[in-house]
Amino acid sequence: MAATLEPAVNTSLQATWETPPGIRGFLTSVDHKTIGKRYLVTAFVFLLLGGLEAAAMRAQLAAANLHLLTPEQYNQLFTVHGVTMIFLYAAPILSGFSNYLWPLMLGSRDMAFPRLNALSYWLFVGAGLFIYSSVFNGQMPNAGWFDYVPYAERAFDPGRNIDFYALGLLLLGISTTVGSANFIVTLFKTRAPGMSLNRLPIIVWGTLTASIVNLFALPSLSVALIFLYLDRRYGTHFFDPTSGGKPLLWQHLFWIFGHPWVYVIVLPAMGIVSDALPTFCRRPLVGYTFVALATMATGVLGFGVWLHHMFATGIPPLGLAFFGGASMIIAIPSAVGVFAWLATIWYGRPVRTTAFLFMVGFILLFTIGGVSGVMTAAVPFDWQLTDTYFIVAHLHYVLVGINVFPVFAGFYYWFPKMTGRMLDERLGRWNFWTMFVGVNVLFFPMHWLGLMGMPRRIYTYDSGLGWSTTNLVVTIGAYLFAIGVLLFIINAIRSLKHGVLAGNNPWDAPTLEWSVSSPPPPYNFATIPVVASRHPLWEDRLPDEGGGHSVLGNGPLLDSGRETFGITPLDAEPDVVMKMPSDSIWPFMLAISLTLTCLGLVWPSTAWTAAGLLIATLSVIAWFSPRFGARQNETVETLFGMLPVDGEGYHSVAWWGMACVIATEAAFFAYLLASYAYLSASSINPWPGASPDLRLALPNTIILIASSIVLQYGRRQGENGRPSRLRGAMLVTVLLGIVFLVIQAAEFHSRLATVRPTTDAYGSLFYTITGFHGAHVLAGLVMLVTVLVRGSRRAAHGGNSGWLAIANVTMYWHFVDVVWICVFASLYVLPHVR
Amino acid sequence: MSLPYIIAQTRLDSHAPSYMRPAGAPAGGEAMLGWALTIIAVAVTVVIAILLVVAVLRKREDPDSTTTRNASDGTYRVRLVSGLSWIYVGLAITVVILLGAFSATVVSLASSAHAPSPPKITMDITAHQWWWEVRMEDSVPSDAFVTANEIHVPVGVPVEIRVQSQDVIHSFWVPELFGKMDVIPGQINVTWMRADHSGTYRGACAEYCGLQHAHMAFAITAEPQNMYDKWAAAQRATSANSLPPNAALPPNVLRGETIFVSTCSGCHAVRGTNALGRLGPDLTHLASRQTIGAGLIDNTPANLMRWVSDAQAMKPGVLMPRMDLRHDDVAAVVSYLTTLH
Repeated sequence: MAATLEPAVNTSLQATWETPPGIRGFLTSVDHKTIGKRYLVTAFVFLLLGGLEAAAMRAQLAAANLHLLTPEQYNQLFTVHGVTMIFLYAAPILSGFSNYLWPLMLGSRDMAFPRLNALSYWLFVGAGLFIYSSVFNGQMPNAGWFDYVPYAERAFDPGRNIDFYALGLLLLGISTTVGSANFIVTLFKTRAPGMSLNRLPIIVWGTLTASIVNLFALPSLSVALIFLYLDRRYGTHFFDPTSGGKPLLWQHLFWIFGHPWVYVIVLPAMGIVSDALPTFCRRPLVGYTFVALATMATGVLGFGVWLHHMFATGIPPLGLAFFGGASMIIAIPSAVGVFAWLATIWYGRPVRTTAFLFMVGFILLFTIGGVSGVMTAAVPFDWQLTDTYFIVAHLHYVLVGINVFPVFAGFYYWFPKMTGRMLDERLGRWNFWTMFVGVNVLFFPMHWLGLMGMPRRIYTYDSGLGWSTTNLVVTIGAYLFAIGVLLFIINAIRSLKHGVLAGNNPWDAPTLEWSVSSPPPPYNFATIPVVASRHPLWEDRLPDEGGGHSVLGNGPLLDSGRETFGITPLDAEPDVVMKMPSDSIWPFMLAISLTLTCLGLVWPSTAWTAAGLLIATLSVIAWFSPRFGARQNETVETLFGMLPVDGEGYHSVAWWGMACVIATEAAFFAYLLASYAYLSASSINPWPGASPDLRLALPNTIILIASSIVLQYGRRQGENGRPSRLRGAMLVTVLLGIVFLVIQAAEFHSRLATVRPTTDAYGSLFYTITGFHGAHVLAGLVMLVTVLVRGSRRAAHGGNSGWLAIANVTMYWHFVDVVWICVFASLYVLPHVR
Repeated sequence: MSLPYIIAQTRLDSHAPSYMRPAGAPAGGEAMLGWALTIIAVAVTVVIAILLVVAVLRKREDPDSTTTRNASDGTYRVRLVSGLSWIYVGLAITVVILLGAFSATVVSLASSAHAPSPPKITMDITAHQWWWEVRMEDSVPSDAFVTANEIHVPVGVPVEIRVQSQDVIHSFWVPELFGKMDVIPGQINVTWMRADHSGTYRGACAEYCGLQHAHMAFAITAEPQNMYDKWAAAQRATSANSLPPNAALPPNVLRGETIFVSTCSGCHAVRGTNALGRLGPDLTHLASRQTIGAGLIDNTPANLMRWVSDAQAMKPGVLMPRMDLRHDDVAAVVSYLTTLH
């Protein structure tokens, strides 16, 4: 395993992959390890902020009738505490681990889209700062993290509080979506040769599942947030019962997102345990296949349980029984995990390190949170439990137990890899026991408070209700827990300087990240590893594990520029050599301009908004610099034979990236149309204006379909080496697209006389749905024109990127077309059929 | 706030409004399901905890018996137990428990979703930020009456509850009598209750509804039918009728009534006078209530004084504005209010 490479090779790889020092390097770096560490530190800071907010609330509730906080302060605190912990800590901290670990675990030099990775991080920072900037005018979000309407509507909450919430979470949604797409494509395309699906570490399964869930769940939140912002700023009626809207529409959209999100913020954390626990038990995980399948199953089932947040909203009993049952079924994959971990410890030889203790603590906390979850799934009893402190206890056992404890285990486990130094074990034990006792003193009595009838979200309570003593205990637990977190910070700061040097593999762990130095070099692996088993570093001692012999240290080199292998998704056989992008300032610029756009929207200032959007568009163009390029068939000789460079179709990451964009956008429009169907079905009388004229829309539909056919024809011609015909076809497509938009504008103009977006819920839906589709047509036009305009230039450097840009634009254009057909069928044709 | 004060006021109080000690239906069935699930949950947790501790601490076999060392190169091989049986057995037990829990849920749901016999009384509840408007319907429409925050019901009689909201979402809940029913603008949700024991049961808003969500309590008093009938008759009566005819009212009270009608009638009603406001609670029988401010504080003349002069100080954000009344005017209003039996 010893590196047999010339030092000169390492030096040249170092020069190729290293980020230059200084502010420039700071803003432009796309190294997944740098980004991962930034995610971890930033999310941890948000954990501390959320903790301070909790500490203030616990002081207020320490005794009956205290006045440390005003009701408004308390309401802002519990709202921002929820938003911070759920959106700005729990998910990003896991992105941090996954960003840092994925390429190292999978045997790659970076993520599939390093620049997208940087964008994801900067957007997260931008969204976090944006939401917290509301503190400066004293108007932090104050309607709960769940933000129920109509309380969150302008009529009842007239400040800017909820605008910060809506826009901040939309911005964060972009960050999470591009991050998720990046993980999915990384998983399918950039693993080491031989890293087949049945060899993936479980954290990879967890993050993959979470990422797929995000693509389909987040658009539901985005739709809800857009509706909310439009209602508040422009007087639409999505949630307004007096004009055809429904408050429950928000709850459905929010929880269709919200419950899957719970699994997003626990599955990767459970993965941490499934990967780290075996190291300290000196044996492989029991039931790897079961645990991997359970992870995926949880992600899927998570979409079928949202109604259990709404048991008390007056839904008929049959529906309640169905969702109650579904919510209990989801306990089954959780049980798989618990018994797999138990058996791993039982049959292992535990080494009781701090990381191990945190994982054992996690199993107990997870069990408590799990069984209390089953209690809440029992509908009639949930009518009592819901909105009491029992739920507060349950959700904190789940989130602290399944997210925070594995995260701390992860800190102790991978800190040596990230920094090269060990965390102190003695302090670590104090750290664990303080947090473990603290968390139970803090949250266990809350079950009791709930059973004693204490509702959630009250800023104070009377002394005669029998809740005072328990609340005091809870507050003491909270401060004990805080001391535990403080001990960790002390440990981390001390160990950064004075920790014991770690070496490559201080825990004698089995996975690839431990085969490289601590901290790893910028290029991760001097030669790309070739993986032959699930435990590449334990192959010599595990006779039953396939008996493979992974090649580490003298595999394929790939050193002409930033390169790594692209592989076939299932078997991980190399099928392309990928040219990886260099550092870039554009992700940062895009993130900052989108944050400015949000500031402009909340202020509101049209100039800021427009400027932000303009810079954002220019940043995207500069970033991708798509150019009109002919199809190229460049190949390169590797250990795996002649491989194409970058490839095309599903061999290229570009294709996969666009597929992810289309998947999440399709979900977005599906939620828009579902909202239309829901409100239309809930309306007792047919909506007055709801039978749009087909005289303009029908020809317009034909025009858009024609444009797609023309573009497809052009693509074919380009494929066969006729770029001028391709160029002509693209031009015709652009013209047809413009005609479509003009006709739509004309149609809007005549319809506005009878139905306006502010007339009723129908008007709001009609213009929002068709408007969003129009915006997508416009985006498609910008892409087409950009590619065309840059067509006069010759491709500056090799590769197939010009052709990939054309293939992607074509794909996107077809998608926008299909969306229109759905919109046309739902909004134009169906009302006439009924 | 000194520490001794905090400790002094913290005492275990058996009067917590706990749904685990139900006093009627459907809370009784809900609690039974709750107790069953609690026992299962505790049992599962204890078993897992014991397994976990034993798994961590149990004595291992000598490592040499599970590994074979290769003497020549020093490498060793581990003999592994698959452990999959844990997952099979664990899953089987989990599925059985869940099936039991689900069956119990469905049975309980069937019995608690609807009243066992047709309700005899209907109450219409309209939730406001941050108080409850109560309208007791009657088969004789003119016998229906309106009150606020304090409701009486006869023991043993099923009551239909219809809830609606004029502003934001609230949730109607009396832990000892029935679980929550959300109060959602634009729809009327229906549930039911039956008190099996006499007593006064605390209810509260359970859905976050803004600044004073914490102070949106109410009470349901269950009493024998004849006492309920008496209460209902008294509530039906207009205020003027409730005073003795030709009663020589003290001048202070009369002055208070005048000030009340001119100053407070925009929001409050006292039936039988010209105060007809609907924005705030109906005060026709205010003096018959135990608390003011939706369970905020005891209904005493001193507290009424504070409330009428500056409700904002007692319940920040309450929609009742600070009244700019002279002290003796406030006193007159309060002396009038205390006559509204």
